[in-house]
Amino acid sequence: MKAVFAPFLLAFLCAASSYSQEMRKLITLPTPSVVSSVAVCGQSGLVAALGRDGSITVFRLASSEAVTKRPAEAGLGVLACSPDGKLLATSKGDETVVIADVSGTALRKFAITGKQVGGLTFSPDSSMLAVQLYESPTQLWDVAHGMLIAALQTNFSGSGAVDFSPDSSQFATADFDTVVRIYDRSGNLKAKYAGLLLEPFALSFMPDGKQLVVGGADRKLSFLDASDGRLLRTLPLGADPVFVAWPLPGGNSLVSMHVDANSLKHFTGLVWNLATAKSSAMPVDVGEIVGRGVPQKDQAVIFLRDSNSSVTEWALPD
Amino acid sequence: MRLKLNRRELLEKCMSVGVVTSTAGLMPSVLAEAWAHTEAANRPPTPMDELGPFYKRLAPAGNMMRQPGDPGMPLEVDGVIYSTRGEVIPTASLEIWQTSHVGLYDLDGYRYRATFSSNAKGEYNISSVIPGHYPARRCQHVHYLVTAPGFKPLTTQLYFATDPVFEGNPDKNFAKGDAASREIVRPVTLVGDPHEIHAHVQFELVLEPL
Repeated sequence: MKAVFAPFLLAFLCAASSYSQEMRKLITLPTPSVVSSVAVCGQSGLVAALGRDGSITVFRLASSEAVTKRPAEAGLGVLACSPDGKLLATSKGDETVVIADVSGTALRKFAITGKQVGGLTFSPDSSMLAVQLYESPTQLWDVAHGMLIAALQTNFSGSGAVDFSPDSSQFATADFDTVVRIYDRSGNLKAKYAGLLLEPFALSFMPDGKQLVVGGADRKLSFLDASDGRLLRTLPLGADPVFVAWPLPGGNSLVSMHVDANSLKHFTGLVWNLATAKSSAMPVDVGEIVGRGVPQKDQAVIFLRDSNSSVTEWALPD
Repeated sequence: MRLKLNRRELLEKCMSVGVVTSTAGLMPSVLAEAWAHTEAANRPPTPMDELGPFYKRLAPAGNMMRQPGDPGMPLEVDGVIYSTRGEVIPTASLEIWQTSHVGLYDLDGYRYRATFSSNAKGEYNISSVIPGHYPARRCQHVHYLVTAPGFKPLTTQLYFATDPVFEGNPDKNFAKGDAASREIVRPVTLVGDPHEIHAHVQFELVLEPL
């Protein structure tokens, strides 16, 4: 399994549930090829879909209009869209990150010498880009100036997940050496949590930015104080390792996604009520989730690949 | 003008200007020979391979991962830990983990997980069983995390040339089984009493200095 625990390798099995009945189908986007991932461009109204053939289509969600169609580019496998909707960051999983405007015009390249790129994450203010690397620590880059802000450090290997705080003042990594590290926006280490035994694969700031939630091979969700890394509480042990822990905008609930440890092929989802610590299964009607985000205030959505030529946006209740 | 010096000439030049001094009173020719010998002993670093998703911290101390009565083919692995300059590295720390013989990792406990150190000669050995074919991967493999002061941490994996995935030709097929490089696919010999056969693998490890 690659160092970056392929964030969109998940598929939800079909099943009926009260939760799925509460989900609302929003819009279906026709895509030129099979989509591997959808990047939500913050609340700009845009999303970018990356095809398995390396094509990129940028859609305006309100109308499902394709505003940009970039032709297939062999090997392109990593995509992020800036929350201001102005920039796309892409990589072929090699030693280069390309920053382009949404029309596809390349603006600058980041050379990641000797490292292979595994994941890209923009800060909420769109000023920074976190570059997750294969078996190497994450790097923080200044997007506007193409400058390396910080090459972070681990004891060994890289990061399973990264996230910026909602105000972009903090950055956190869940590293494969089992340490969760919290940095300021200059990459200075401010706090860490070293209480995990198994590797973490999922990490998110809570919407208020005061807590972090972490999940991984230990099959539970751990909540940390974002100011000092202190463990605050855990949610009950689940059946399978956690590879996504995604707090919904209101801060009252959280979606966790799991993969069975034996085959790494069977995926499930849970929706947690954080007040009661109870969860319910989150099966959805069709296929695979290829993207998630908050394209409108307080509205979390997932994108499901429902055919070889379309993805559908579903709204999640909070 | 660009000078191209051989080892002896370079040493003579360095000694003449005081960059290098020989407290033992050795001649440049002797030093040059020692230098050449050192270069010949250089070893390429062991290729890294991914850490994988199921590393677990604080594995129990000891190199005996196989317990009496464990099913599966007994496995003995030994080797020496070197630097890229060919020097042995004593008291390197090794963390080793693998699946059971049916291909399952122990996430709740520490079966088939171990932590120990190389000895004063840089040697290490483990007793285990041949790991199973983990359902999500095609190869039998053993994970290594090796650390030593002054050296880059090494994450790698040991693969078995006898694994059917390689179809009898690991030179050609090593990538079919996800092995990061041919060098870490090791030959397996069956040794021991016919009633107590076990598999033996030699796997030397070479660390790069920081």
